[in-house]
Amino acid sequence: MPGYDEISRCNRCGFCQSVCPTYLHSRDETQVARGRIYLTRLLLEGKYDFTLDAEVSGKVDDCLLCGACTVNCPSSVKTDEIMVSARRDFAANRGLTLFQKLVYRGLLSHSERLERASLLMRIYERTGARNVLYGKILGRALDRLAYYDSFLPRGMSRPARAQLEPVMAPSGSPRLRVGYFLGCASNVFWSQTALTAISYLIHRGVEVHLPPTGCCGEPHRTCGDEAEVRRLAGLNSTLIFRDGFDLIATDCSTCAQALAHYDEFVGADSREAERIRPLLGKVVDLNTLVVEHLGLDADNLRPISHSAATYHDSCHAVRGLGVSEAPRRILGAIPGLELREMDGADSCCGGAGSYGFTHPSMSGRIAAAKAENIAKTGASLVATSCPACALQLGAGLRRAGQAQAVAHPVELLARSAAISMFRQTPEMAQGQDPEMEP
Amino acid sequence: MTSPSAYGPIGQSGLKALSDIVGPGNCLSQPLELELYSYDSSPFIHHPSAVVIPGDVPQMCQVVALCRRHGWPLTCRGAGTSLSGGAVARRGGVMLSTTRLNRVVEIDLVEETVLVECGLVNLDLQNALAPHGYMFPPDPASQKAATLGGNIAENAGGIKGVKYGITKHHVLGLELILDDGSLVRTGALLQGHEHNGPDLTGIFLASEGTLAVVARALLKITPLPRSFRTVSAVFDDLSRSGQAVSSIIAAGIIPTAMEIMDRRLIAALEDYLHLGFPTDAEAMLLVELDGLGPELDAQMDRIRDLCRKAGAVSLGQAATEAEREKLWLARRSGNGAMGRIKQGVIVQDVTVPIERLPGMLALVQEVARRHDVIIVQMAHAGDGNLHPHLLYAPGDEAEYGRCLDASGEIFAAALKAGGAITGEHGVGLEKVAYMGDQFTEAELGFMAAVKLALDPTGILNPDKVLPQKYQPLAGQECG
Repeated sequence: MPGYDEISRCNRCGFCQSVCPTYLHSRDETQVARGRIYLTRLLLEGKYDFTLDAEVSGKVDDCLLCGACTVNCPSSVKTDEIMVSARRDFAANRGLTLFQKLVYRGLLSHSERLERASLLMRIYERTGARNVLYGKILGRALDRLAYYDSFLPRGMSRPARAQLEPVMAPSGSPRLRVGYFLGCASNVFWSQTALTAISYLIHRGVEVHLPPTGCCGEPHRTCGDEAEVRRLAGLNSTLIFRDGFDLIATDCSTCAQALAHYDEFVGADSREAERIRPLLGKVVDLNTLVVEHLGLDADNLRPISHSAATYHDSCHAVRGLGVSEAPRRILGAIPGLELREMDGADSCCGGAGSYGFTHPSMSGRIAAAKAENIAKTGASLVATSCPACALQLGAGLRRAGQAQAVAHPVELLARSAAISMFRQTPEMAQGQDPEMEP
Repeated sequence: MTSPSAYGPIGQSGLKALSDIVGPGNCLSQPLELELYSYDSSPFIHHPSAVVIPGDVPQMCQVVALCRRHGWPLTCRGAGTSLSGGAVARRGGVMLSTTRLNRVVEIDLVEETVLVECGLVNLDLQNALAPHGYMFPPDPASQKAATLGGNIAENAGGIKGVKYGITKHHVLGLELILDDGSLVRTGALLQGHEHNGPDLTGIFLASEGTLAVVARALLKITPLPRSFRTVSAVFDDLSRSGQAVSSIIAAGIIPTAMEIMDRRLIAALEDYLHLGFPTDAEAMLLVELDGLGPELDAQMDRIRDLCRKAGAVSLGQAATEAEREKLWLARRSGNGAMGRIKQGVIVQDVTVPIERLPGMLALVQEVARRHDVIIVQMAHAGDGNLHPHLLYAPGDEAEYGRCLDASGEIFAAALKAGGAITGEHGVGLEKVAYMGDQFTEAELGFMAAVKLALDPTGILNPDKVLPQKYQPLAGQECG
């Protein structure tokens, strides 16, 4: 846990109430940053016990780690970091939950298992099993199952990695060599986004390297599984932090934020941390790579099939990496596309990794409010820079019966630039739109 | 021995009755949940026996009636941002959270009024009014979180108080839940415009939840000003900034706001917001004018002159709206930013007549030196409202004791200067002991008579505002 001094800097002024999503959707003091801080303070003071009080850990687990409280805190109390370290202590004392063991250690820790699982999801998706389940067998009774089903993107393509090559060179001599960190969620759930983005980079003269990296470790970090964070970061670190890369990029802002802190992930005192520290500055999110290093190439853009888009700031992009201008500049560059800001664009969507699965009620409420804010803009398209947000937004929109598509800004830019794909996917060959349909 | 005045225990059947009213998910009684309703923004910590979060006014009425029937203490709570311990359950019992009654019921642009539910956040009201070109002038620094019910209960002031007055100047009528659960209206919420009987609205302003529960309020709204000028003046002596304020008021200028910040506060806010504040300055004075452009420029020149004459070493002006907003964000963040210096804080809000302000600022500095405590000073200087922040390390009993001693001396000095022990934060638990210094026996007796008439069983926010001997009952801890 951070020191008592850091925690007791909170003098309970209550300003976090104005930004904490779980408070705004409950209006309950047990669901706000200052309350969570107060509980960790009582833990440190010995009033409650890490090993016994499941209720305390429950309250600590209720935090989305969105970081909105921290940037709005007059004393800059780092609630997100304090919650993560509290979870680390819980995990050390009591072990991981079954969900964390199955999903984080079981699936995310092993890319090949996640890819195999995704095959089952595609079969479920393509065969119409959904309709059989809901229409014939289960009726409408199983709301919970329908809730989980809403997360599954429609028209999932094969994992991106299977459709790409380790090194993809542009025609002519490359202007940049980029190590592309393909995150788990992008690989499996947002593969068309990754394919389109990578194709765009190649088109713009980038030599894209795709080292066989695994999960970035951020999901494990958020549940306090420090050993696994170190293991995964250790594996990835040698693959992605290579001198030969001019930049290290990813279409997932969660992965980007994790990579930017990889010296801590691999163990702050380790030799590997020392090696990669000078290379951390090379990590960029995809939007920044395009805007700052390639340029928008506005002369070669044409209208796409949408006339208005809105942008959702992922927590890891806007507060983690400070990225908010670049994606908007990309959207603004697309001819005929109007950027319409939604209310609370930088407020967490409630996805927060697996929060949608562990906290369906709160997450569902937050997603519903997001969907409403999206609807109010009248835009037919929501752009965001994080596959976890995309899954959550897609699910929220689907449950609200809204038809807005969800896409990464660079994916839209690629379509506006009308580039040819690095490799045609079967879905594209069939003429489907390469954006996620809700 | 149980006296007849003892507060009744709640027990399992009581919890069931409460949860039957508000729904099981909205009635909290687990120890951990009660921890999170045991505090507000003051140093006082007391645990309620149960927390209810009603969804509508009828539920609130039923909860209040139930408390009266069983003799359970009832503490009403909005955002829990009280700085004087107003929102903690000193005697246990039921904590009634108003946070889910947060609707703007109706905006009437013809009458220039708005009807709100008590749990609406002040800033959310401002945001609802702004598109219509209106504002609700009271703007306590806690407006991001604080609710209007709380603003009314504490008679909150704010940064704009110099020109626009405080909460009581903007409340036209109240819908109140009396201690037996009945719902009554006062003021402009009653039928008829000309004669509504005696004006009873006023006694509930600053009553801190001890007389009735505010359910809804009819508020006067004010057109948003057309333009602003905001000047910052830097001083190498704190009391000189106070002299500048006195001379501006004496010159007949009524700015929207005049705020003083001392050296430590400037440094803490610079650490938070990086605005380029002069961290070596002893004091900074922010002055804002609003109104029509040409008139403002002339007044601004005059203000700059007066600041220079009072000894300002440099003067600046907010060039853009963004700069202006940043300056006020800084000022509003003052209280929360104290955590950067020391974690424990007692915030005072004594007031003095404006000509006494320079002397009072200096006196507080002197008290700090003598008691060996850190006192950070900020002030709604334009209405003579000081905000000394007395800081201590949590757990350091000796330092906390020195703060309390220093605090007592500041209260006494404010009263001696013809001021008051509270300008806007309320008496709560913090200042009860000093009520006898500010009011006569007869005045306190009159307040006690009003309290006894409205809350004969003493269930409403017990132990707050009135000293023990003036409380209807000397109760005991709720079971």
